[in-house]
Amino acid sequence: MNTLYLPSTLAAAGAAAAWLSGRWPKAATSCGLLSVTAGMIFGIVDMILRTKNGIPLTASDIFALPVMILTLAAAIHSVGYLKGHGDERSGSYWCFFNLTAAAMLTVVFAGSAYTFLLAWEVMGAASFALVLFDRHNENSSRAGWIYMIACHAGAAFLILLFFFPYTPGWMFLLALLGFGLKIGFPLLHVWLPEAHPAAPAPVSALMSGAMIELGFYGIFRFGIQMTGDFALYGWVLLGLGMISAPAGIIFALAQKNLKKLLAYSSIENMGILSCAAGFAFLGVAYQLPAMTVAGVCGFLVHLFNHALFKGGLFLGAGSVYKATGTLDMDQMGGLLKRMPGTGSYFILHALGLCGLPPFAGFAGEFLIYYAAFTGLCSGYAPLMWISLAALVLLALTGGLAAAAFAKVIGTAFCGEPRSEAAEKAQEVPSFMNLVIFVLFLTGCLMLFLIPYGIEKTGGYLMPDYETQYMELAGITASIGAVSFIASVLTGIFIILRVYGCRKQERIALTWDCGYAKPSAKMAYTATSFTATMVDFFSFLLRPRKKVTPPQGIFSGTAEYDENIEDAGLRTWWTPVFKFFTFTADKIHQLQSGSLHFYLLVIVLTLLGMIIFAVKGGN
Amino acid sequence: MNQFNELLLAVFLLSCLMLAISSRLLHCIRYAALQGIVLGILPLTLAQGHFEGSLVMALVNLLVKGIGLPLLICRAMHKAGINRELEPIAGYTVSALTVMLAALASFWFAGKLTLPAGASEAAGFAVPVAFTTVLTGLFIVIARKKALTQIIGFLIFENGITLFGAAVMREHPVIVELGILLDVLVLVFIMGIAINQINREFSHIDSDRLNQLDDISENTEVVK
Repeated sequence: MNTLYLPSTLAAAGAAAAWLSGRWPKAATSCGLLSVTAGMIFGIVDMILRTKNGIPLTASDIFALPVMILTLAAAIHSVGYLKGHGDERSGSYWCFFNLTAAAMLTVVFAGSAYTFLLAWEVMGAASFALVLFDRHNENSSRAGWIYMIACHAGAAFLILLFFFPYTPGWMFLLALLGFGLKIGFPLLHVWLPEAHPAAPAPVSALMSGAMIELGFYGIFRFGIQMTGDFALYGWVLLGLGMISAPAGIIFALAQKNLKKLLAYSSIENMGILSCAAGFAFLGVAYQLPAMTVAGVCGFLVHLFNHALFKGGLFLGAGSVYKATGTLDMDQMGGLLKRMPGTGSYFILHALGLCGLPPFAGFAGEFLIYYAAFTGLCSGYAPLMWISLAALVLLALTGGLAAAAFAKVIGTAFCGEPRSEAAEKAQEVPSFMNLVIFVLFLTGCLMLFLIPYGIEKTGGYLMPDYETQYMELAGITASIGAVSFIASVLTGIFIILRVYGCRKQERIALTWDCGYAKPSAKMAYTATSFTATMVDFFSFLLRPRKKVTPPQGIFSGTAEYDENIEDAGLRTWWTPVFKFFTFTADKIHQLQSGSLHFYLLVIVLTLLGMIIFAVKGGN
Repeated sequence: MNQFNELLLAVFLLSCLMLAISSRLLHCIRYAALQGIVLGILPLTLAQGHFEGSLVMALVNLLVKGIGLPLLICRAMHKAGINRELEPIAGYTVSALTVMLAALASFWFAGKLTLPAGASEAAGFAVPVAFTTVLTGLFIVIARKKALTQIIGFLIFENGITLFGAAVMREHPVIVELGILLDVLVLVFIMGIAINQINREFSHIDSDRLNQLDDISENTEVVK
C-alpha cells in the first residue's frame, strides 16, 4: 500500500467526521483534532523511517514536511484559540481545517495534473471558508471575497497551463501568474494582507507558513521545463524576488495591525525564496554549480525557516488576539509582563525569522548570500551587477525586517499598556505556548539537520553536483557548530545573570525616563516608532495623514492618524477595477428594458453577420 | 410574363415605401393587404411547373394575407379606437430614407449572393425586393410605438420571407409554407387579443411604455 496518501486520507476522513458531528462541538473537535494529528504524525514518522531505511527524500517530501509540522502545531493551537471564540461552530471549522490540510498534502503528492488541480482548488475553497469563519470581524467577508477571486483567477491560469501546453516560455508565464497569485508576487499579492488578518490565527499560520510556499512547488513542477531557457527562469524569479522582498518588508514596517504586518513579512520572505530560486536557475544557465547548489539549499532551508517561524509568529499573534481582543499594536503594550510565555516565544520566533545568527534563520539567509557572492565573483558582466544589486537589496531587507520586528516587540510586548484590554490581558493556556515553543525548537533542530540533509539528499537529487553539496554541507555544519556553542554560552550567561548574581532585583516602571509619573501616552506607539522610516519610504508607501496638531498653551485634543494603502491596490488594481466597473455600467445601459431597442440591437447584429458572411464569401 | 412579374415586384417595393411614410393605420393595413394580394398572384407567375402546389399556396396566401389578417387588424383597430400613429420613434422622413437605404443595401447584397441553380428568371429582381421587405418590416417593428403598427410590421416581415421563398425555391414545399402561415395567423390572433387586454388595462397600446423588462429600473429611475 502506498503510504504517501495516508496522512491526507486520515485528515479528509476527520473532515467528514467533524462535519457529521457538527451538532456536538466537543465530539467534532476531538474527531477533527485526533484525525489530523494522527495523520500528520504518521506522515512525519513515515518520512523519518524512510530516510532511515536509506530511501532518499524526494522534492515532494521536502515540501510536505513543513506542511505536516505546521498543520500539527496549528491544529493543537486551534483548540485553545477556538475556546469561547466560536466553539459552537467547531464542526465546520474542523471540517474545513482538515480539508485544507488534506488538500495541501494531496497537492504535494499528486501523481497527475488532474489530481493536482483538483486538490489545489479544494485547498483554495476550504481555506476560503476558514477565512470567512471569524464572522464578527467586519473585514472578513471583504477579505474572503478578495481571496476567493484571487484563487479563481489563479486556477484559470492553471487550467490554461495544464490543458494548453504551448512553448516552455508560455508555460512559465502561465505558471508565474497562476501560482504567483498564491505566492504573492508583486501586484498579485493583494489578497495576502487582506485574508491573513481576517482568518483565525491558526489558519493564517497554515496559509502563510505552508500554503503560499506550495506555489513554488507548483512553479517548479509545472512551470519549469527541462527544454526551457534556464537563464530566463532565473532572471525572472530573481527580478520578482528583488522587487517583492524589500517592498514587502517596507509595507510590513508601516503596518499597525499585527497580522497585517506578518502578512507583508510573508510577501518579503516569498521574495527572498524567489531570489534563491532565481540564483539556482542562473547557476545552471551560467554553469556555476556552486551557485546552483547554494541557491537550492538556501531555498529549501529558508522554506523550512519561514514555515516554522512565521507559523509560530502567527500562532503567537493569535494568542495575543485571544488575550487582548485586538490586533492593533497601538492598543497593546506591556504584554511581555502579562503574557511572559507568549511574549518570549514570539520574540524568539521573530529573531529566528529575521535571520539573526544564533538561530536557524541565519543558515538559510547565509546560503542565499553565498549564492549571490558566487554570482558576484563569477566574472560574467550582467550577473555580477545584478548579484551585487540583489545582495544590497537582501541586506536592506534583512535590516528592515529586524526593524519591523523591533517595532512589534517594542510596542506590543514592551513598554506600558496603552489600552484597558492590554492591561487586563491574561496569559493563554500553557499548551498553546508549548506548541509555539516546540515549533521554535524544531526550527533550531533544523540547524543541525541541514548539513545532514544537504549531504544525504543533495547527491541524490543532483548527482553531478555532489562535490559542491559536500562543500556546502561542511560550511553549514560549521555554522551549526558555531551557533550551538554560541547558544550554549548565551544560555549559560543568561542563567548566571538571572540566578547567579547577588544583585538585588529592582522593581521600577518601564521606560520612565526620569519622569515622576510616566504614562503610556509618553511612550512610543507602533505608529510613531516607525514614523521616520515611513516618511523616508513615503515615495512608495504614500501615507495619508490626518493631523490635528495641538494648539495654544492649554491645548485640547490633538490627533494623528495615518492610513497606508497597498501599493499594488493603489497603482494597479483600483484603477483596473474602476475601469471595468465603468465599462460594465455602460454596457448595462444596453439593457434598457425598451423592446424597440432590443429589436434594433438584434437586427443590427443580424445585418452585421450577413455583411460579414457576404464579405467572407468573396 | 417576365415583365408582369417585374411590375408586381415593383408594386411590392413601392408598397414598402408607402408603409414607411404613412401615418394612418388604415392606409398601412391597406398596403399590407395589397402585398398579400400580390403575394397571392406571384407564385403563379413565378412558378415553373408544379402548378397545383403553387395554386394552393396562392389561394391560401390570397385568403389569409390579402383578406383575413387585414380584416382582423382592422377590427382590432376599431376596437382600440385609434387610427393614427402620432409619435413614431423615427419620423416619416427618416423612415423613408431608411427604407431607401435598406433597398440599396438589399440590391448590393443580393448581387453578391449566389442563387441556387433552379431559381426562376425573375429571382434576380425578387430577392432584393424580398430583402427590402424584410428590412422594412423589422424597421416598422422597431420604429413605431403602437402595438398595432408593430403587428403590421411583423406581417410585412413575414411577407418578405414568403416572397423570398417563392422566388428561390424550385419546388414549393407546400407544407413548410403552410406551417409558416399558420404561425403568423396564430401570432396575429394572440397579438390582437393581447392588444385588447392591454388597451383595457392601461388605456393605451404604446409598447414603449412597457419597459419593465430590465432588472435595474425597479429601484432606480435612471433608465427610461
